[in-house]
Amino acid sequence: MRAVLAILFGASFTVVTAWSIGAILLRKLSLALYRVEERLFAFMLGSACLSAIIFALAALKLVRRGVLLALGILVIGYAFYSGAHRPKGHEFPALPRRWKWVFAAAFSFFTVLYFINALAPEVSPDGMAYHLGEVAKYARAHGFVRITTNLYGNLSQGIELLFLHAFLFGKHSAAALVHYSFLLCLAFLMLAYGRRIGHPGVGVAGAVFLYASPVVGIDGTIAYNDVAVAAIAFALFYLLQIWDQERGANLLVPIGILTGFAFATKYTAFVAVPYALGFIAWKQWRARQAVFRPVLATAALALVFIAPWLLKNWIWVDNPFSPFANRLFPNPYVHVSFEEDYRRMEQTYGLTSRWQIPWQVTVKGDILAGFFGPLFLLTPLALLALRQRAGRQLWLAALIFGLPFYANVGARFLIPAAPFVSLALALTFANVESLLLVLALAHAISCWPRVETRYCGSTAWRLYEIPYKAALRIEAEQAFISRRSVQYNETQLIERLVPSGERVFSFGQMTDAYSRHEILVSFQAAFNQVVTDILWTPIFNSFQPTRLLTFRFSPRQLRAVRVVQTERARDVQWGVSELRVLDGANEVPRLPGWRLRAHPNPWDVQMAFDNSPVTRWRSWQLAEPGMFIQVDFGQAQELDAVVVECSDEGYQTKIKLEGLDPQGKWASILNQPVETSRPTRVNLRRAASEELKARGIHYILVEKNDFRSEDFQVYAGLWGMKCIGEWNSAGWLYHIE
Amino acid sequence: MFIEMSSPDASWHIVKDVEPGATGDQWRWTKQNPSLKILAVTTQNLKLSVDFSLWDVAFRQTGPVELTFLVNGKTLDKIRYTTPGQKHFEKPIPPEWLTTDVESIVSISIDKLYTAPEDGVKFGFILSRIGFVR
Repeated sequence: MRAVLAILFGASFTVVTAWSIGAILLRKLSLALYRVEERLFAFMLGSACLSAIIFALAALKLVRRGVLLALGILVIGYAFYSGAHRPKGHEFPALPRRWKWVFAAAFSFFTVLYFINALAPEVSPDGMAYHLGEVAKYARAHGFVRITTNLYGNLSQGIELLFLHAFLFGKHSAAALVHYSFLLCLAFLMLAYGRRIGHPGVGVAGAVFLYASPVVGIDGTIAYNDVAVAAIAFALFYLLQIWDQERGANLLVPIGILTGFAFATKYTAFVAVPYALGFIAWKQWRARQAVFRPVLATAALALVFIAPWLLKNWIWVDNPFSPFANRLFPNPYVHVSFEEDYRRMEQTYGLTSRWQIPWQVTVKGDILAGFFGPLFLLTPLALLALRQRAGRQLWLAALIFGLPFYANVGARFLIPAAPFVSLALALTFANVESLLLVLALAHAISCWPRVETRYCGSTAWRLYEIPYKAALRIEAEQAFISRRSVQYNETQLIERLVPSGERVFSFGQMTDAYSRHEILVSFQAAFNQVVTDILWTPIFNSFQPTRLLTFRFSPRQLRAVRVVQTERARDVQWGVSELRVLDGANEVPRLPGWRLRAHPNPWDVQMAFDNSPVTRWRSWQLAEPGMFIQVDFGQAQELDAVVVECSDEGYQTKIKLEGLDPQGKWASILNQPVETSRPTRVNLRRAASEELKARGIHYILVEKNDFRSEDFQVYAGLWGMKCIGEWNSAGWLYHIE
Repeated sequence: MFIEMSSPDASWHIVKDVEPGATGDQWRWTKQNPSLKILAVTTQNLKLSVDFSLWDVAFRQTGPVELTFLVNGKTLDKIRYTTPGQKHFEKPIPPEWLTTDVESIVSISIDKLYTAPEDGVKFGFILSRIGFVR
């Protein structure tokens, strides 16, 4: 029970602190809002401010329980002392009785479902892996740590910093409850919006449409951030609508804050910036009023919340937009190829046709990870709302906040657009109230877990039980997570068997939030991808340096040579396992004075000069003309051949050789190498293990579904590894001896 | 890499036509084309080595048998055995037949099968160990 109290305290203390900051700010701004609006906007604005405060504390390594307690008590105390906790605005007219009942009924059932799930131990894949994985690292370090081996650590983490606040007091579930508080706030904001535009029934129905949606329910009750993004987007929209009516300059302050907080919460919410600034500029221009000043003021305020994240990344990983924009900001931490593969994968999720999307996101939910409920098959009817001004505004926001869905077709990427679509759909039926009422109730019933089972895909991402025993910790937390997550059990193997401070390599994502070790996941950073490449080289012939490309020419003095790529490959990277320079029959010994260069990926050039058959320099992006790998001898060197050892993978690439003569002039030497093949004669497994050890990795975790996982099992001896732990024939932990 | 039929991992290497045995069994009956996947640690100077038996009772029924030894689908040798008893086969494998990244498939095919009179089940020979040696 103590654990439950800690969780509830962690979450409520975070929410109340945030709300108090927002209440104080709103009081200072003297905005004319309805009472309920004041309460809701106070939470949204306060969350943005608290997140920014924690950013500053994390940068100073001051994220400690004592500091947060003092801050919270101070802020809450001041809010009460100054009377900011008492809203000053008017009440909305009372809700019509039948709408009150509809809302109360739907809301209470789903709130029980959601609250208990949020209170239960965190078992969401990404929550356990990185949303809370990074939070746990920050909690241990009392602030930010430079993370170069997990690209998720570079995403903006505005909500995760609120999680961090809650985590310090109540651990994982407290963080999930903070996210859930955004869902509650969003539902009430939608209700309030309906009342403000004079359609309380639309507000109720819209809120029920959204609140009961299965994908919103599961996402909003775990430590993700999509629902928070939706709440921020809707609060921003709402404030813009009020500003459009009143044009109060003070309203631009919360608008600017929420615009920036949207980006600080999730990169994909950057659309809030053009939306808010474009909205203000357009309305001012139409009203023939000054455009520049309000836009600049809003942008400047937004930048206060955006810039810290960009700067953090720029300073730590050389790319303000990491893990994206790697072509624009080349860096050794995230490969261009990762970014491009990731985009491609997120655009399809394995769909065979885009025509599957409507059915997937409304009814099935098994390919696109979640669904909104069959009601949303009626979305085309919501276009009828365009007849009204409010409908047009809702659709504009829906389209803008739905844009990221084109880059990632996971159903949850539609959540930020869902409040607008829900309200537009409700607005369509505003004049047929009884039908709207039936739709709201039918949607709520169709989205109850036992009913969903009848139509959704068997693997659809959704809540399917009320785990009250786990929520109340009657069932032990470990036992509950262990039942739900294979990766949790594998992570616990690591916790039990790997000495503190040791890094562990894993092909798949683990549950970092429940680990104190650094887990290097194969695809999550450039370094990890290189390690994966090394591990796969012994077991995939096509990775091995079996292809020799020899440039032989008349002996000459050269200061430098470079091998230049001349072909644009369709789907392969360029790689060089080894580059050797020959003088007659002998290889010219490599000297410390040699200067090596490569473009792109200059950071790995050494791997083409290390005599290791399991390492290689790779372009880590599709081969294209102009890429090169170069060796500068520092002085004129007699040579007559250059040999490039590479793998079969580069079959689409073509190279030429250029040389720098003693006079400092580059000239082409040969446009075509002679190709021969040299099969691998020795087993490379142990060589790969040695390379891992050289990189400080002594443990690897292999899961049953990893490529060639059985190779590690059967040939552990050949790898120079020993299996030190196994979980249920699903995962094996190896120590590199 | 050498596979002992008594090894607990032996089953993992079997591709087909080797009877499942109990743990600790020193040998296993084969069918007509027993095949196993075996990893070469190197491709150089390796020999295929096989220890097997031709059961005298079976031999009385089949008479002399011819065994074909194949590596990755290529015939390494073909030998006619005219007596029953324990046998040992060993022969160098051309390096270009082997790879070190994945297992090579080693097969032995026997031309005549023994049919057990009690139940009519057909058997080839008795395999004890098989693999690559230097």
